[in-house]
Amino acid sequence: MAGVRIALWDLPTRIVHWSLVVLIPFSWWSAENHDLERHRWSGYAILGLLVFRLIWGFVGSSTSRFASFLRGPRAVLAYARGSGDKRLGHNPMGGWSVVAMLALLVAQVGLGLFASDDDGLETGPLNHLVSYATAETLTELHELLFNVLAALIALHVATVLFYLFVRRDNLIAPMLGGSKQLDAEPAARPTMARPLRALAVAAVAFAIMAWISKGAPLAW
Amino acid sequence: MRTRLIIGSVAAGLASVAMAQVPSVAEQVKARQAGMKSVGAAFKGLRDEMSGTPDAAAVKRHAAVLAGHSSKVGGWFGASAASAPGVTTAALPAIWTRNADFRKAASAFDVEARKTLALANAGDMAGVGGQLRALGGTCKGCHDDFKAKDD
Repeated sequence: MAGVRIALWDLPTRIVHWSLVVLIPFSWWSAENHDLERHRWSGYAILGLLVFRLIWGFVGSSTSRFASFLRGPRAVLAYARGSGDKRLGHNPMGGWSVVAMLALLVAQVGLGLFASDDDGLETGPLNHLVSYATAETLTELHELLFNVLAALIALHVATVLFYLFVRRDNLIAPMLGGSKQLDAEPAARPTMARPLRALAVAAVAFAIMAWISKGAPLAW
Repeated sequence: MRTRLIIGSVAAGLASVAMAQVPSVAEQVKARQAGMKSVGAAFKGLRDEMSGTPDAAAVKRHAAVLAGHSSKVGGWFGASAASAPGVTTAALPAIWTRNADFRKAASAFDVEARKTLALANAGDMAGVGGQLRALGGTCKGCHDDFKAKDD
């Protein structure tokens, strides 16, 4: 088969993606089983991944940058009408879906930071910054918002399966292996960020996550 | 006429006394939920104080609120407060079907709350800090068996 294989998704983006695939169900499961110790650790891990992904959206590889995949309403509508899209990476609708899921995850983790269990024994690391009543409200929202997040994830999975079976376009393989087989050389290949940059961003993300998990102290 | 008035007002008075003595289930549920909320807020207050440099006066205040409520918990779930149609409560029937166990769990809270207050009044902040786990454990110890989980 003639054609070219190009690098599409960088390793950090894939690690973030598949870690979330594992951690989001784990977070749900641990909460359902009232294992809030593990729930908290899972939340911290997601928090770190989110901070990383948000920064990576500005300084990462071209296909991971928000500026490259967030398109105006005209492009989204045109794509929805089936105009096709020659660009590599997220299509105009998928890009917004990614941002919607990330935004919901940020909100969900954010609420969890202030949450408290019924007995006040297990709390998010920022619970001390809000009143008892506020924490109660935020905890309820934390439980409710998960349903919205789950619905969006279900839509995401359904869409990927639609592309796989109806459009005959396997989106899963490139998200696993990072590369995509094309019929011909694209106008421009995605530019991949250097691993050292990913390590630097990961260090920053870890530091921010660790600081928040300690209750965001203003002094040490 | 006059006697009737007196009898009438005495009857009304008795009726209102009777009503005051046995509030409706809905009223009792509302009152105990408010009580539980102040218990929760006071416990959070203690925990928040312990997460930084504790303010001894605030610790005393929160501990007093807890110890002020802790002896009432058994009474909040008396036989007359068991259930009523249309009243939403997280109180499980086990409170009344296994009442001896429930009362034991509730009095465990009372014991720990009093210990906490004694430590707070003595100004022993480290002691209060060390006491929080045991105190919170008695909340959980009762909630696990006698309070509905909201999931």
